[in-house]
Amino acid sequence: MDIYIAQYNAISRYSLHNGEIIEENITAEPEYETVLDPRSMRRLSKILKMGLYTSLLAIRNIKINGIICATSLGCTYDTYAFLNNLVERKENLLTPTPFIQSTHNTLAGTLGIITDNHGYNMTWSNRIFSFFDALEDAISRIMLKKGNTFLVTAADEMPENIASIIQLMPFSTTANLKGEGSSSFVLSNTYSPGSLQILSTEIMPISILDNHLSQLSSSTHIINTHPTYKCSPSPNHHDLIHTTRSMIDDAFGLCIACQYADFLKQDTDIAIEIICLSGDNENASVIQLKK
Amino acid sequence: MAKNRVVITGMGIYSPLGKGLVANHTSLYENRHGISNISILQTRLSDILPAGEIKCSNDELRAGTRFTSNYIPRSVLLSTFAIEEALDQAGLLTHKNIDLYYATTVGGIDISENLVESRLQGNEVDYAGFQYHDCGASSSLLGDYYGFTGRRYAISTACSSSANCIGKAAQDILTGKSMYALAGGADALCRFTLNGFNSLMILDKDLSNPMDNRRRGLNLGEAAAFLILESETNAIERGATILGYVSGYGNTNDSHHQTASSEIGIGAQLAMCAALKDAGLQPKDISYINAHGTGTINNDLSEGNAVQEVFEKVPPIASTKSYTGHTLAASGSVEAIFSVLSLQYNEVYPSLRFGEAIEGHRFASFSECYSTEVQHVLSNALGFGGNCSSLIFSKA
Repeated sequence: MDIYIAQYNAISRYSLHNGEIIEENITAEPEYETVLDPRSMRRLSKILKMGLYTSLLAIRNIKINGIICATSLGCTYDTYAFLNNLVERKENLLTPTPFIQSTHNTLAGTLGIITDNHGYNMTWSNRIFSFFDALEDAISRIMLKKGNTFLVTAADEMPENIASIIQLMPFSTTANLKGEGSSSFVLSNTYSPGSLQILSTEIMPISILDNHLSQLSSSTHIINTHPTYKCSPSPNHHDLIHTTRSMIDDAFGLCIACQYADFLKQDTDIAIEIICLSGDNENASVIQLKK
Repeated sequence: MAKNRVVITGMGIYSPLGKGLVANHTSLYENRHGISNISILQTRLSDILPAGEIKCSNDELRAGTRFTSNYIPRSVLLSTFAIEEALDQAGLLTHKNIDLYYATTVGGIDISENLVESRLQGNEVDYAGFQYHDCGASSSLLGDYYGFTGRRYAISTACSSSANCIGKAAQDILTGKSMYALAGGADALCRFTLNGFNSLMILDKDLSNPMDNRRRGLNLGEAAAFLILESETNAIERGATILGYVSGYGNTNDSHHQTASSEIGIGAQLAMCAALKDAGLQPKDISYINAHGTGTINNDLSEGNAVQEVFEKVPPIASTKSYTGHTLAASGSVEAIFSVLSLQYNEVYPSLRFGEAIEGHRFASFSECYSTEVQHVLSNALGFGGNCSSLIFSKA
């Protein structure tokens, strides 16, 4: 069974202009009011606003069978707010709202309510692999015929008080602090014009990655968001993004891959193949795509 | 060709009922709960709210492990005992090709809450202590600790987290993606969750009365519980003892409210139906329902409404949270193990202290463990965010 990315949307610090990847220092926020109800927005933390915004845009005109979210740190704003109240008020007279919105599945649950979706609902929270695990979950649901179409959203927020803690951690880098934004993809088993096919997803040790990549066609493009791995130089292998570790860069990488495929496809009828790389110090996630 | 099935070949548990399967089973059989006044966790609420607390300090727990850092989350320390018991029972103590499906909601927040308190009070803080805060950190810590070479996952869907780990792991065994899965989860008592549930005003100041008309709220608890899953073919080939089958899994959303269940429990209905369909079973085939049964007014009414919608004749149904308290992310795997014990010993475990059926329900729970033939057990896990999961376990 073939799996396609039918639609996608992102709030990301990366963008594509004429085939060039532009990386901004901060993540620009959209006008949420165009998609979200302004009255309910006041209560929402940034991760929820971003996640709802990209999700609702990605699923427009598409009926989904389930919602799969990924977050590496979860709802840090509300978590900190509740902890702050707990300490300041010495465990007395706490308001429940930040606690309610602190659980990792708040985004997936809120999406379930907004879209009135009673289907599969899942939240993966596994550091840099959170998005990859969510993506594979959607693919396996489709393969098992438990639905045809799934929303996959990766979202993380980095409020100032959390950033200030991470900055003081002995092994942090400033790149950690950029890990904010949201990317949403609709995965489907139905081809529609313009959709990108996911050929394979794999996790492999970094030690065999060189060998794996060398077996690819030399025309394969590589979007690399891996924190440490550098592709060996080759005219057709582009390290399009090079950052140090960030939480949801892999999801942004897939979004850039979608845009990049569109850009390349303008001039050719030949199939475009793209690999998205990410991972941690030991393992790499490899997503192979075709247009 | 017969459909390959997912079998359970190892289980391990550390709960308020004790360390290990024998202690837990004895407690269940003897109708002995593990709820007490809080004495290990330092909290203002210790005199007010009872909980299912494991009476062992972090230092004592750590002494039984190879961990040395003071910043290892309590849930990870608890997990080591449960994981080792599960690996041992499955005969996989030295096996490394194991995929870990780990569930937690608090992760390392029991450590973070103390550090944040010091920070806010202007005291010196060792910021390295925050490194195990996130859910994925716990999964990585445990994977590294045992040298597992397989995949490590971390799922956080509130109170249904470890039920989803078991369901997801079972699917990966069926598709061949995983050969050996260690699935379960852990949550430790901490001020964050204790105060959170207290702020929602859904904690009982006395022993809770789940599935009972007089219920007033829930007791929190802490636990770690893990199961080893593999394919039936693999288990037979290597001569492993099969403890039970994971035969059905349903995962749905109630789409109603972030923390409250819909009155008819539509999410729970759909999850139970999906699990039955997945297992190829009819409602009448279920011998015992291990309810989510938190003991709150809202959950037990809604869940019961859902049960009597799906089950024309409701089988014996009870909430073992009356024994352990609500162990949050761990509750799905704790109750999975209780379900398998029920299958193994042909016993059904009660809602302790039960006395009065819930108004509007045409079924009643029961208050004491009794013997009866058990073929299939359905276990519910319902959570914040409308997350509903049902698992069906079948006799070996």
